[in-house]
Amino acid sequence: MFKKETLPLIVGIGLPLLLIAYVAATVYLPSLFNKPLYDFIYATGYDSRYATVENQTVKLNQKPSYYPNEASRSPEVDLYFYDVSRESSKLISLEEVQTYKLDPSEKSPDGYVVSNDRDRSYSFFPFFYGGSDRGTYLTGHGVSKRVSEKYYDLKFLGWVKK
Amino acid sequence: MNGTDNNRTDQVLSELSALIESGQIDKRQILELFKDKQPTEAEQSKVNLQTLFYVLGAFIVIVGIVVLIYQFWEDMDQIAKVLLTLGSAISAYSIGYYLHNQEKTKELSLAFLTISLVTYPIGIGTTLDLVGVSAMEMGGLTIIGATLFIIYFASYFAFKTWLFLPFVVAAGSSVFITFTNLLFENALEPKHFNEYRGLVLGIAYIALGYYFSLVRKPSMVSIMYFLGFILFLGASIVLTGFKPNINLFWQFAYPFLLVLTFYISVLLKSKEILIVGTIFTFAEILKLTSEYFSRSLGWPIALIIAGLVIMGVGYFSFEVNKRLIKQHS
Repeated sequence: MFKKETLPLIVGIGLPLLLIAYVAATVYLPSLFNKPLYDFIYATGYDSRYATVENQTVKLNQKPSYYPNEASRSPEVDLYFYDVSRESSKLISLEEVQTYKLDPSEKSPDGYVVSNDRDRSYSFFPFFYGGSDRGTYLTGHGVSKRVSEKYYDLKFLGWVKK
Repeated sequence: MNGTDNNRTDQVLSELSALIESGQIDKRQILELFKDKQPTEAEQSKVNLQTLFYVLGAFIVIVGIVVLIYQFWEDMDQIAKVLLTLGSAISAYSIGYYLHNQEKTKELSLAFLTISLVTYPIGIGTTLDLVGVSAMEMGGLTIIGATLFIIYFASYFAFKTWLFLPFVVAAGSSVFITFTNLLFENALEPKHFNEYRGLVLGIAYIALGYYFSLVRKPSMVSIMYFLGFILFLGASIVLTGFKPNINLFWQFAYPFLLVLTFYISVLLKSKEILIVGTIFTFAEILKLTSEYFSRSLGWPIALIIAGLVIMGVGYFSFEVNKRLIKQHS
């Protein structure tokens, strides 16, 4: 027999469990069926904006000088190769990066994008503090993977052509 | 008590509830039956003073442990840290267990159990650090929460005292929050996930509050309703959005949720729900004033109107409490 007090107990315990199940399903199920195919290159660092793609190749432009007689300076940029099969980034040199042909389109040929998440939803610490969700993500087809925790000084350069 | 006695007790209690509901018997008549068993005023104040000293003592011990940890933390190796924190928790728990089994020291045992309940999280955290799991990351935090939940939940059944219930709820909530954070550690959270998570936690707290009222755990009812409605209305008001990013659905639904809150406060005769509902009504009035009227009417006039409306809501809430909640409870 169903007791009167059983229903609120089921709601009280079941509702959070349902949300956990929903989160697990939205995070893990799409990635079981959809796998991104294209690796990509990105630049990080304060000077990452000086990294550009010209004729399908990465180029580091010189920083303009501050003072009239000062020579232009080389930008300080770290270049990374993101391997989609390993879901990890690897620091690579400019020479190495220039061996790849890049497609600088925002969207990859299989429909993924690399985007920064700068929006934070509100939270009432300590009741539902969300931790840090800022960063750069590879998203598309219901999949989202964190590429880097950086978001303000990371520049996407292009998809590696196969 | 054996099974037959339990059935008889349940039957008598349900008959008594029916008589109370039909108004054939009142509170005074029932209390008359307990007249001889009720403590005298002097006995009651002695018990209260005794409990106060126990609570004060437990608080001082907790402060002492925290200061001790703070002073020597940097100089201690990891094993010493575990011995100090987890050791304190286990020894306080053991002393509490021993005292709880003696009839004369049952009250005192609560003080020691409180010390252990507060020191367990630090103890488990330092133990995790010792075995190489970071206690400050989401995985470590989830393990701490889950371990605490098991300890508190098992203790509640072992000791049968309400003291563990707030800790059970807190540990369960912490597992819920840290585990969902952990699931999203390498993935993008959907927009407004925190608000919806707060909404779910709020509804869960309210449902648990109602459950505790049905199983007669009055000390838990108020706290669950209070926190539950803060989370529920807090998350809802955030979901309404702020100009220019207004969510029309929530903006429209929010006043109805406030009315529902007042209705539930009367239905459950809960002053806590009424207070939370009133505070969030004030918040909504101020929010709407700043968003819609401060420019057209100007701030001074908008504030005067908001102030008058708040006074009206305050008076309404006071009257509801006086006429519908206080009188019936």
